[in-house]
This record gives sequence, C-alpha cells and structure tokens, in this order.
Amino acid sequence: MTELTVDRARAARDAILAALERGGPVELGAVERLDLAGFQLLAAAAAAARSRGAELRFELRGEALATVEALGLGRYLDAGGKA
Amino acid sequence: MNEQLLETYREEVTELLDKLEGELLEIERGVVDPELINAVFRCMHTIKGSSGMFGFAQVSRLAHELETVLAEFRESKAMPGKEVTDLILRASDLIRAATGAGEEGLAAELEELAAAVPLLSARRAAEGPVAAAADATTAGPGGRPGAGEARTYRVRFEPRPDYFATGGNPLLVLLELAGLGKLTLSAELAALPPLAELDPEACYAAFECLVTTAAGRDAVEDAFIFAGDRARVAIADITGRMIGGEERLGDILVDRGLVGQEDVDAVLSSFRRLGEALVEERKVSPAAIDAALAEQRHARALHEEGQAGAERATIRVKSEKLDDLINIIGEIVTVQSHLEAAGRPIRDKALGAAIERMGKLAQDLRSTSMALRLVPFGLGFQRFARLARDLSLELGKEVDFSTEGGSTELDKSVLDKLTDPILHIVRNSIDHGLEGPEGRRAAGKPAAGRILLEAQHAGAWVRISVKDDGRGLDRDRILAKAVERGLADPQRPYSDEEVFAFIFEPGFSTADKVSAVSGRGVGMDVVRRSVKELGGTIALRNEPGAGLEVELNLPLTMAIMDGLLFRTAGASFVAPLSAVHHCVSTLDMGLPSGSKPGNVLYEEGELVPVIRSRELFALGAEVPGEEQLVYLTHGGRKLALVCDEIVGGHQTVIKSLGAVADYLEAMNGATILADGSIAFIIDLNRLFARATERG
Repeated sequence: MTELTVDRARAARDAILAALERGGPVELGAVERLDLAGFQLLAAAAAAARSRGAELRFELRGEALATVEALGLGRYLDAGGKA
Repeated sequence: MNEQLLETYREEVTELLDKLEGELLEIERGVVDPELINAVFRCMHTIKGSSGMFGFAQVSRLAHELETVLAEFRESKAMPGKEVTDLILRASDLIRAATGAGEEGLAAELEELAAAVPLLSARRAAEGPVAAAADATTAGPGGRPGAGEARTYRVRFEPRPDYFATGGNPLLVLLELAGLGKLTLSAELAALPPLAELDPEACYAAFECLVTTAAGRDAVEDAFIFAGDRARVAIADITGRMIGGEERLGDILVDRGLVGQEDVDAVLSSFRRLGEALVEERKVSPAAIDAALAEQRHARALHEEGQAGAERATIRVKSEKLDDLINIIGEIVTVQSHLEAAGRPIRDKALGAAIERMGKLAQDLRSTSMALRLVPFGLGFQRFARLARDLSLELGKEVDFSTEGGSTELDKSVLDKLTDPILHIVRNSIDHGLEGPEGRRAAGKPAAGRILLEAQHAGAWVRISVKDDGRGLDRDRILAKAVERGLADPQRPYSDEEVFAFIFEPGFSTADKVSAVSGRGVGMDVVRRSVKELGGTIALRNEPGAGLEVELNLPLTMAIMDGLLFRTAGASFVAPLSAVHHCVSTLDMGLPSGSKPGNVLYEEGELVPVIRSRELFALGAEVPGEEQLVYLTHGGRKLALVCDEIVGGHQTVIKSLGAVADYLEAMNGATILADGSIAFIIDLNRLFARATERG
C-alpha cells in the first residue's frame, strides 16, 4: 500500500476489517501518502486492533512520514506499527 | 554572598526596572495594548524570583503583590489606570533603592507599599479603558504593532463532516500553519466512531493548535483561507499566557472555560492528579486534558528556547573589562607604531609586508573593540521620560515628551557622563521653558508642552538636541540679571550669543524663587562643564515665545581617535582629524619664505583667527622659512593653527593627563608616538576659547 487517502479509504477500511476478523497481525505495509481521511482510518484501525489485542503493522514513509512528524500526529497512531 | 553575582543581580534588576518604567509610561500615554501589561508582568515576575534568590525578601514580596495585581489586569483585559501606574512606579523607585543600598533602611517603606497593593487591587475594577480583547493583536491608534515580534495563537480548527467532499485535505492547512513557526497540535478524535462504523469519506477530527510565529495574525488567518466555510476556525492570541513557561494545567483549563477555579481547587485539595481526577469526574474530556497539556509543553519549550537563544545572543561583560581591553589595544597600537618605525630602515620586503599586515590587524582590532563600547543612546531615554512624567505632575504642566534617534550609538563612557547634563536640560525645559496649560492656551499653543530629545550621528561626532516649544529664553531678563550680578557691563551692547552665555555661569538663575526643581543656578554650568570634559560643545537656538533648542555635540569616543600629527619646535601635537578642515603651507599661500601669516586671514568669505602654536605653547627655537597652517573647525567656528611640520594621520590612543591638563595650554591628553616620545592632544574647546579672547 502506498497511499491512504480519501479515495482509497473505503477499500482500505474494508480490508482492515476483514483482516481483523481473520485474526492475527494486520499488515498494511508502507504508507507513502496520507491525508486526514487516511489518518482517521489509521487511528480508528489502531484503536480497533488494540481492543482486539491484534497488531497493526504499517510503515510511514516519504510524504506521509514528513506530514505526521511535522504535525506531531504519531502518538495517535500507536498500535504497534511504525509511525 | 558572592559580590560579583550580587552586582550582576543589581544590574539585571536595574535593566528590568528601566524596561518596566518604559512600558508603564506607554500605558500612561494611553496606549491600549495587552502586551504592555504582559511585559510589565514579566519584569516583575523576574524581579520577584531573582530578589528572593539573593535574599531581598521584602523586595520579592513587594514584587509578588504587584505581580498579583498585574495578573488580574492580564485576566480582565483592562489597562491599568493612573493610580496603578503611579504605585508601580513608586515601587520601582523603592526596589531600585533597596537593591542598591540594601533593604534594611527601607524596610518600613517596603512593608507599607507591599501592604498598599492588595488594597488598590480591590479598588481597581472601575479603572482605565478596557483593552481590546486578548486575541486582538493589532493595537489601535497609538498602540504598538505586533509585527516582527513572535506571538502565540491558540487556533481551534473544526473541519465540517463533509470537508473531504470537495477534495480538501485539512492536514495541508495544518502544514501551512506549521510553516509559520513553532506548532504544537492536539487532535480531538473523540467523535471518531469504531472502525466498522467509520464513514471513510466523513471528517470527524478537530484540532487544537498552538502556533508561535512572528508572521502576525493575518498570516495565521491566511493559512485557513482555503478551508472557507467548510470549517469553523477560532483564533486567540495567548502570548501573555506563555510568560515564564510555568503555566499550570488548572489555569489553562480555567482559562479555556472548561472548568471553574473551584473545581480545580477541590481536586488539588484532595491531592489527586488534576487531569485524571477531572476526567474521572467527567468534568472534562481526555482530549481537553491532552490539549491543555500540549499548551503547557508549548509554553515550556518556548521558555527554554527563548532562554537558550538569549544566552547565545549576548553575554554580560563589565564595562571596566572593556576599558581594560581598550587600554591593552591602545598599547598594541602604540607598539605596532614602534615596530613600523623600527622596521622601516631595514628595508626587508617580507618584514615590511608582515608589519603592514600587523598594522591592518591592529586597526581592525581597534575598530572591533571600540564597537564593543558603543551603546544605543536610547538606553537612557526611559530615565528622561520618567523625569518628564514626574516633573509634569509636580509642576502641574502637561508634557508631551518624545524621542528620536534611540539607535544612535556612542561610547558607553560618554553616555554615562551625559545622562546628568541631559537630565538638567530636560528639567530646565519643563520648569523654565514650558508654560503652564493656561499660559500656553493664552499663547495659542496646545495645552501640552512638547519636548523632543533627539540624537544623531555627524561624522565622528554625535549630536544630541533637547528642543521644547515653550517660551524660549528671555534676553532682557538674562541681561538684567547678569548686570545685577556684575557679570555684564550695563553700558556695553551684547549680542544674543553673549547674553545667552550668561546662563552657563555658576550660580546664574533668573528664577524669582528657588524651587526643589530648579532655580538654584546649579544646572547649566554643570552641563557646560560636563560637556567640555567630554570634549564637546553646547549651542543654544532660541526663538522667543516659540521655544529653545539646546544642542550638544560630542565625540563618539574618548579612548582612541584618528588624529593629525604635527610638530612645532620639535614638540609633537595631535589634533582630532574630524576637526581638520584643510592644511596649507605659507609658501603655497604665496607668502615669501620666512614671513609670517597675519593674525587674521580672509578665508572662503570669512575672517579666520590665526593661532601660532609656537607662541601658544611658549616654544622657542627658530621659525622655519616655511610654516604650515592647519585649519580647524569646532562648534561652527574656524581657526588656523600655525605649526612647523605636518607629519600626517595618526591613530591616537588617548592617555589622560589628569589634573595636569588644567595647567597646560589648550591640551587635554597625550599619546605615545612610535619612537616613544609624547605628543599632546589639542583641546579644541580651550583652543577656540583662546581664539575668541584674542579676537
């Protein structure tokens, strides 16, 4: 996954929900672009994973990483993933 | 206690009080700007802390009481009235005295004033015009612009749920905000539903941002320009809350209206952690606590960065150490001259180049070190403004005191010696120059008298002027008084300049009665003496009925100067290069060899007196066939000084002659030349006075 933006958020949400249903860690891979819709999705996914005792894995890179660092948003995405 | 630390504390308190008084005088002028209160508060807060640390307990207590009153003003957004500024100025005087001479002798006064502050606090509600709301960064007319100065804004950004529908990304807005300065952000995600219920195309998040920026409020508003009506944006200036970096969580929550002070007090009295307790009691949301903690972190970070920045930007050095440095550099300049003289006959190219390089470095070192001693004239402005304020109250006169040229730099030692003379002049202007309100109205002038204190550079000199729009000098009255005192001959006609010169005579006053302010005649002669000691001149420009301007011209520095070295009968002299108009030899003037120029020359349409250094300094020896004339200008006058030989420009390290100078003709210092001999520095004031006597 490289982009987590509003136009891809619905599909991403469904994929994450399905992965959580299956159990085990949820692997999102590298996220290179992130808008507020994507951020909300990651935050909600992190909360869902925490509540189920599952691990949500993702790695912020490039523009997404720069945005999260500049705004200090990493603490809202703490779900065992790398932000 | 370490005396050096104590001295540093005193210096800091003095600087803080100077700053505080400046801000208070602005408030008294009617400037409505909450930042003025913040600045006064910051000064008082620092004085409180450091005074406690250095054992000045009563000063600390007084500062604490005043800080409490100032905090109330910060909260209420009202500007202090006259009663409050008066009291703080009185406290400032007392703190200044107590930190200087010790609290012991002032214990009762400190106690009395500290007790008076809370009483005043209770009465203050009805005072002063209400300041603009705290979030107004643009002060009104007469206010101080905030542009260029870092301010902190609290921004609440609530994108509407359909924000994404038009393709917008609120994170880009926040990134633009981050680009303005230091940003601390809290996201409110309480409205975010569980993942299964999440509508990925709806916006749920809101943000609380703290941004510290020098770009101004407009720039902060502009960051949200593309959010348009798709978001709710609220911006508040909370610069004042960032003071000290010690904002408490409870204060933040109360300030935001999330809880009452009683809620905070109740939790604190039960020794529970405030944030957790308030969340448990459902008084506030975790997100609100998170945002408040973010504000606390932001304030602390600003404070730490600000302190670190200040420490990097300046260091405090005692002026005596700078004097020592200048003396050493003076020696280096002298030794370098010796080296140059000794190396010249050797004719070695490499040695010559090294000496030349050394000379350049010595010159750079001299310039750099001299710059260290230069301070802005504006450092002293506050004292003059305070004097004007106090005297206007005492004498019942309205005074509009203004200043220009505060950034004009001059040697600290010159500034120190200049403060008292300027205070005398300002005092005289208010007491004698400015009419009372009735008198001014009768003369068709505004009720408030104007005094302008101005400083500006003029080459190697600084010009300082005190100009008022009062009644001006009364020529007839001064002359009558001079005749009465036997200073003037009633039969002799006097020019205006001669008459006005009488006011500089010791003990001279035209005042009918002696007041505490002036009228004892101890002012202007002291002014003249001080200015002369500094090697400066004083001039008066009088417009009867319209005002008086007192102009002081002073050398920028008293340590090292560029001079013109010349010789007569084997003796060496230096004249300040800034005073040298031009030089010419008697042969070039067309005089035959061996003939002397007359006592007066006609030069560029004016008569110029001629002074012969050989006669002035009682030097013998034979007069050479060709002599040199050095034309000097000073205080708007010109003379020609005749000498045997002009050597050339000379970096002159000024050495004091002490009391000996009084016994020497027209000399006020000496310098050591490259060969170890001494050259005397010409005292322009005395030289020109001599020319007048002979004229």
